[in-house]
Amino acid sequence: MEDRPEQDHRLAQEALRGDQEAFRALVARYQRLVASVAWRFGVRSEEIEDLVSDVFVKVYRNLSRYHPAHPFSTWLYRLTVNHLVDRARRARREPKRAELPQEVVDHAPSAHDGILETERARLLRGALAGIDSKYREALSLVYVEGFKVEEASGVLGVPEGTVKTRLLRGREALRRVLTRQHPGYFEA
Amino acid sequence: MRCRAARRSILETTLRAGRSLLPSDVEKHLRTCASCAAEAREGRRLVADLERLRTEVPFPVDVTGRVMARLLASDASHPELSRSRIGFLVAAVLAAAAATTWVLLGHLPLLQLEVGRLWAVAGGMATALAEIARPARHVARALGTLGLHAWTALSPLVSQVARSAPSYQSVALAAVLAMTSATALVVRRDLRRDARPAEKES
Repeated sequence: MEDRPEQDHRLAQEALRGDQEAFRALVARYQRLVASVAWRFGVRSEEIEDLVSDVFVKVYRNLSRYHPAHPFSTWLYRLTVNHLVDRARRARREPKRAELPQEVVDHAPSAHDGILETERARLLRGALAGIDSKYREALSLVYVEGFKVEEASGVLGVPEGTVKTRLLRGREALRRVLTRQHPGYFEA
Repeated sequence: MRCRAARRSILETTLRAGRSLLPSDVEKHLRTCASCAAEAREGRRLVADLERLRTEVPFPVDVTGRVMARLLASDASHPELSRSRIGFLVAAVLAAAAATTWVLLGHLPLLQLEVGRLWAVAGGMATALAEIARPARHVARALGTLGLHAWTALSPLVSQVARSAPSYQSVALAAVLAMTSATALVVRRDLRRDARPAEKES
């Protein structure tokens, strides 16, 4: 019986030969992965489906570049992260269309002693959306996605020292936002 | 130790596998600097919380229908198509370059191309390349444009060469036939691939 990477490889090969059903199967199999990465990168929930569909159209067009030596999921993950980074870059160049932080605007400060973990995650995600996207990308890649600094440097196209500086400033920015909006965050 | 160096060191610690202990000079600094101590404490908390965000998206997502509809509606055609198109283009350019070199080397005195004609060739090539970079259905139009420009510019040379040596006439004819056949094959494959999704839809 085929394991998952073998199945992925076979589906990718069939899609390359023009089998639409094989590609449909790949989309069904990996759409949640792409959505999860987008969500963790601070993409607004109402934009996630558009983004996931953009990523898979890109996957289809670049499928011939997929190299079976690596798992399909790894290739897809990289492609998704690159897409998200490009998207953030475009948003920075077009300030009018820059994203409004989804969760920063609609929360009253909450300074309770025991903020539940899900609540903490919600507050943190909101605060992440409120900081500069350069910092958000670095923090998301290294701490949330678990990339090494050198890997994040490759994805972001900046030197490792710059990634570290962004991490440092990003952490400070995040702390400031959280302390200002949710004074009890670090006390809980 | 300065605060800046201490904070950098704290960051480095969070990036190391296994999260090793802070260096002793940083520890010493933290005992005397409340601001850096808070940074270290809250930073650790922040990193732990960020790592916990690595969870599944908390709502269902199903875009399969939408993705397939977009692929059918767009010019995406087939993922391998661009590779074959580029391969064909490279082969055509190499063949043209080889033939040109051969003619140039063998019949240098016969070549009296005007600069305007060379510009026409360059312009035609640029137009064709731009077209070929677009979706598959433009390939036929691009090759047509390329052929037209090439023929306009090179026909005097071809007839001159043909007059001087009858054997070149058959070579030129064979080249034209080969290019036409290859073009027809590529276009036919494009059309079949474009048509396939529509058939499935119906």
